[in-house]
Amino acid sequence: MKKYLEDLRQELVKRRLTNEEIEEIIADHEEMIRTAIEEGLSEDELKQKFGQPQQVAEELAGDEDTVEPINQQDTDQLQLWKTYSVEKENIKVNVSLVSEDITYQLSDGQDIKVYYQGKGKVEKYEISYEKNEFRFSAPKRVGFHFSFNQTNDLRFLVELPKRALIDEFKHVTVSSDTEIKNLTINQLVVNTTSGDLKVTNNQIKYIKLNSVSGDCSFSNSKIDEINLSQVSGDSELKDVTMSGDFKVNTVSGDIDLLNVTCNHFEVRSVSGDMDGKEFYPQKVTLKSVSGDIDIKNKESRFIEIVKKSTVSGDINISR
Amino acid sequence: MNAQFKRGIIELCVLSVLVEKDLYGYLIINQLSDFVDVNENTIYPILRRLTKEDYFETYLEESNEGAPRKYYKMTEKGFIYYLQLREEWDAFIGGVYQIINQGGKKNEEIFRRFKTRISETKTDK
Repeated sequence: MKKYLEDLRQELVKRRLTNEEIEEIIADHEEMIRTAIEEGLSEDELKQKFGQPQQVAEELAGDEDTVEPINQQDTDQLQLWKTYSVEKENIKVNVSLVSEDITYQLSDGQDIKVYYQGKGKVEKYEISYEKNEFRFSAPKRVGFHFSFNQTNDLRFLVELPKRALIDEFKHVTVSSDTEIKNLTINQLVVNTTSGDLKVTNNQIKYIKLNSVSGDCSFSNSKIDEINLSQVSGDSELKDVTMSGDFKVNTVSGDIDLLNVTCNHFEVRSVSGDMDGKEFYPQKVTLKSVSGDIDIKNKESRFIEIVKKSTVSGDINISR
Repeated sequence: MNAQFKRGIIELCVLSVLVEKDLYGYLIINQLSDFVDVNENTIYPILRRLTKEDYFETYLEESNEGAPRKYYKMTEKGFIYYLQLREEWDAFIGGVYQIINQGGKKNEEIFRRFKTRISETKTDK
């Protein structure tokens, strides 16, 4: 039963059904299969009655809400550099850059495609796809010579296959601006010093983000949980549905929220302010020196204040 | 059988069992697969689509075995849809039977006539 449900979930994810739909479908199947087992069906009978997860997923995909890719970047002006064909359905992505801007988006087919634009020594980059893991990293620093005497204004575009599920996605950078769009990711980890991050139209289970002075924006995405640490960078969330908690750690960075829902909004802030419009957390916790939480909502839904410990900050919820 | 055609028929079957009483998912699958060659892969998507179109409502009810079960209940809208589909089906299948039975129902009889006709065609040449 467990295997069937896992397979079914994966098939549904691959067909880009929304998380809500997937959860409902899985719950229904769990109940039906459990009942069948309670009635004493053998393994073979179960197989016959429940058939193939791929088949039911395919049937469902026609009727259900799916997440369609939007604003895909045109590849006409870019140089195609590498193509890797992906057979496995679960892949890992591990990227480490210095100052090169990069966009990740959905590919049409089943390949990982890497494009570049601009001047720079592409051949010095390490890039590979082995054992279901895509690795891409900037040339290693050698002494003090690195990048002072060479101009490097490379930009990259990485396309990831449609029917693959990205289990782990790790992106580390110093000052690259990064854009991630139209992807389905289990776990996304981003570390940036001063590069900005833009996350649009994705379905992500868990995001862990560390930024020093880079600004972050999340929009039009379904994310289960976010764990955000920033020093002075600001963040912006727009049209984001979170089923889990939203944890924020900030020194002086502010966060703007518009049309956002989440479970527990847990904030630790020195002087950063949280400003929400149409922001509906179920619970709020604030630990701050002077940071505030201001929420202005049209609908008056109950928001529980779990804890508030602050020197001069406050929580204001108004209509 | 043609998949689209089968889907239409199974849809009517699902409506037909739920017009009698509220049932939970597994029972619906059971009741249908007892009579026709069909499994969950076909039934569940239909059930879900008809629910989305408000032909069914769902509610949870405790079961003796433990966890609650999701029951499907036909709405008035669903009932009207059922009547309409049933009528179309009766008219269609009635017509089909008239056509396929016009030479009688006995296979041997049909074979004999066909054989004679074939041999007649041959002698024509």
